Amino acid sequence: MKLVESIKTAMNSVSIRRKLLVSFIVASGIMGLIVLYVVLIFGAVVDSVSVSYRTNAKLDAYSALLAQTESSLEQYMELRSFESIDTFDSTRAKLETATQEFTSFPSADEVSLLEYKVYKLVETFVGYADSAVYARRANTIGASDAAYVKAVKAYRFLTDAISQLNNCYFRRNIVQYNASLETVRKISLGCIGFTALIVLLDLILVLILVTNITKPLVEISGVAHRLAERDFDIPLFEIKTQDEVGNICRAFNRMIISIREYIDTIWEKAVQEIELREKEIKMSALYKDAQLKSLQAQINPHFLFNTLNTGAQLAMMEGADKTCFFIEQVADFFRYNIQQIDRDTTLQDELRIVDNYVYIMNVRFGSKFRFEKNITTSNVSVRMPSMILQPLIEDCIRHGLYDLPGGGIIALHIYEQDGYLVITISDNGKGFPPDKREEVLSKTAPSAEIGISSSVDMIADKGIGLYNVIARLRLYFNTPNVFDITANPDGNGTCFVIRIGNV
Amino acid sequence: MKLLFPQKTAAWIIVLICILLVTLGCLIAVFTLRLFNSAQQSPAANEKRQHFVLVAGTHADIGFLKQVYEGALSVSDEYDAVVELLAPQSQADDVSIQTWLEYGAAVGASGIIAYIDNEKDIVAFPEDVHGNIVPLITIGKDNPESTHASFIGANTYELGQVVARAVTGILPEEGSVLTVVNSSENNEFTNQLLASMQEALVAYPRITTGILETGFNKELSQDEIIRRKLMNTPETGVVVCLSLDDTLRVAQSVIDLNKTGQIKIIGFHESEKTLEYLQKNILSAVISLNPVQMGKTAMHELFRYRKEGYANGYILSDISVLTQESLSETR
Repeated sequence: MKLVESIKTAMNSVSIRRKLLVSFIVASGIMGLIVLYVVLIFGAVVDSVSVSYRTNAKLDAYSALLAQTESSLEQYMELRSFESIDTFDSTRAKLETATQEFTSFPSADEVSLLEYKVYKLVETFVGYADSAVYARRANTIGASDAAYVKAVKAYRFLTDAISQLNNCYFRRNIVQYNASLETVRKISLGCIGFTALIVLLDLILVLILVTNITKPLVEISGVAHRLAERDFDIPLFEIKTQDEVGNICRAFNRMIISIREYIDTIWEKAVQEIELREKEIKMSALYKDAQLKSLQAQINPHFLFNTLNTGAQLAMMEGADKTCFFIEQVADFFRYNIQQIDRDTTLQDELRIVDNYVYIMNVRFGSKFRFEKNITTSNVSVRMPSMILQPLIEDCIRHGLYDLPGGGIIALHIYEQDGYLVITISDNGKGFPPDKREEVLSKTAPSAEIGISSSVDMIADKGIGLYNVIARLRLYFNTPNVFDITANPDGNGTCFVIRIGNV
Repeated sequence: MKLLFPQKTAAWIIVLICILLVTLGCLIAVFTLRLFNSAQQSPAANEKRQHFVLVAGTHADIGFLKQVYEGALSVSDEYDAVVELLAPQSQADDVSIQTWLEYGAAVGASGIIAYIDNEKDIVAFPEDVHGNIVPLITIGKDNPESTHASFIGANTYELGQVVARAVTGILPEEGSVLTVVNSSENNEFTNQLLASMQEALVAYPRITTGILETGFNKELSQDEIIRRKLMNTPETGVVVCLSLDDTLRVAQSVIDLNKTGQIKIIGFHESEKTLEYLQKNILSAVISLNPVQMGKTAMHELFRYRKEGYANGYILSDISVLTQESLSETR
């Protein structure tokens, strides 16, 4: 298993180009070997067929040589010429040389035994021929004739033996030829089987290789298809190869991760945008409602605001400076009230309008209450919704100190604590009933459905009242903890707490 | 998973596997080529033997010679020898025994076993081209003037006794016996055999004997002579043949005359044809000189002569009578 794993790992580290190249070379090499093998086999077949007839051809040449030798011997015995003895000597030498190719020992094999006979008969023929020639040279006619007769007999035996050998060669060649054909048939079948086996192995190897190469591509194709259908919930590729497909898979993985992150980011932004849009819609609705009611409620103040300006000019012309100042304060208050109702402002502007309002209320109610302002921070430029503090002061005067005969105190404290800007407005009045507090806070919670009609009702009941202030604060700062109602820590009464973060 | 080999080693393993595959292919190629070459070679092509022995005879004795050859061949391995039978399949190719002897000397035979069927034939040791004699063992008939290493033949007297016993086996009490003799050859052998047979049949006075000589008449063929004799002597109960040729002639005549079973034939020499006739009950008995054993004995004597320079000069062969029963028992 480890060996296979090693080989797999080694294969995985090879590029596709090299894999294809190696597979092509291996397949070509195997096919080349098969072709070479077949060529060798059929070369051997052709050789065997040619050898079959070569033996007969050689034996025919050998017979001719023998006939030449005998003929030259005969001529020499008759004519005793130099030409004939030269021919005899040369052909005799050639004959003896050619005879060395025959088997020189007895054998149980028919062909070999015949070759042995030819070998010995040639030896006998040449021996008697030599004796005849020597005797003829010596003019020993009797011995010469006797040897020549024996040589002729040996020659006859020899020609018979050669004829038999030729027939034997022919028969053997036929047998060998048939055997060769049978062997060729078997080898051909073997070749076909072997080739089929090798081709099958080759195909399996190529199939494995192609599957190995294309399997990731198929996966990539499937994943791309799913991506095209906006299905991003797909598993990442588990890539082990170091080839081009591996690189593509890794790039695909990175792309999928990037797309997911991008989609998450877009989704978060979309959610935030939707939330902001919802806030804006709510704010706008509240503002419009508030503005409507404010306009309805302040038609008279608006008229009064113009009228008061006229009165302030009249008072200044008559030299009534206090009256003039009062009327101007009232006029400023209403101007701010009208102008800032649909936009945010700074804490400093809010404090200024609170001062205006408190002055007016002091002139109106005299010593009914005392306003204390304690600001320990210089960070008064922080932005916040307009018309926040004045309605809370108004609430303290109208509801907190309503039944108090005198000595009412309204305190405004502004300070920083733990990164928050804390604004508290408290009174020493009758306090805020707990059930009423819960109702106010819950109805102004971000999750509460504050419809226009309900808001209008609340505002109708309490002017630009507490509900409106709390709702706008929570929408503006996007946190429900920006406003709270508690008991006055200095004793009886109510304390409104505004906590603005990140100052 | 921890790998068994680093990647480089694994790559080498792949290369090694490829090399092994190629080597395997080459081995298969070599194997098939060798297979191919082996199909072209005779298994005995290189079987080297030291000696070459000829069993020679004429076409007339080919049946007998084949059995002699079988006997010689059966012991040839003991002497690392090749044995060849020299006997023409056709009478057209027939040559004299002397020619075979010359041929044997010319082809470098280590020895010759020659069947002599006429005691008038005088044979001698053949000599090769270098003047060396070729050991000669003769079987069959022997001429005192012949020279040979050894002669293997039957004891004529014994043979006559055996023939007489075969006759009395067929004719226990009475009957007529006709002995076919080729008068042109081997008179001494025939006379001795007839004398021995007559001597043995003296004890059976009611069995009469007669002789048919086939060699004198130049106008009639031998088979015609036999046919006429058989037609003219209907009392003939047994015909005794003293040669293979006469056996076949008599058998054919009996078949022609449709007297199979009526005339009993005692043949001479076992051969394919005589054994076939024996099985068909055309022949009642065949006198056999045990040619297989003769062949074996001839080989032993021949190589004794080659090794020691001498051999038993005269060896008597066993004589046996083959009948249909004994034939079925041995086969």
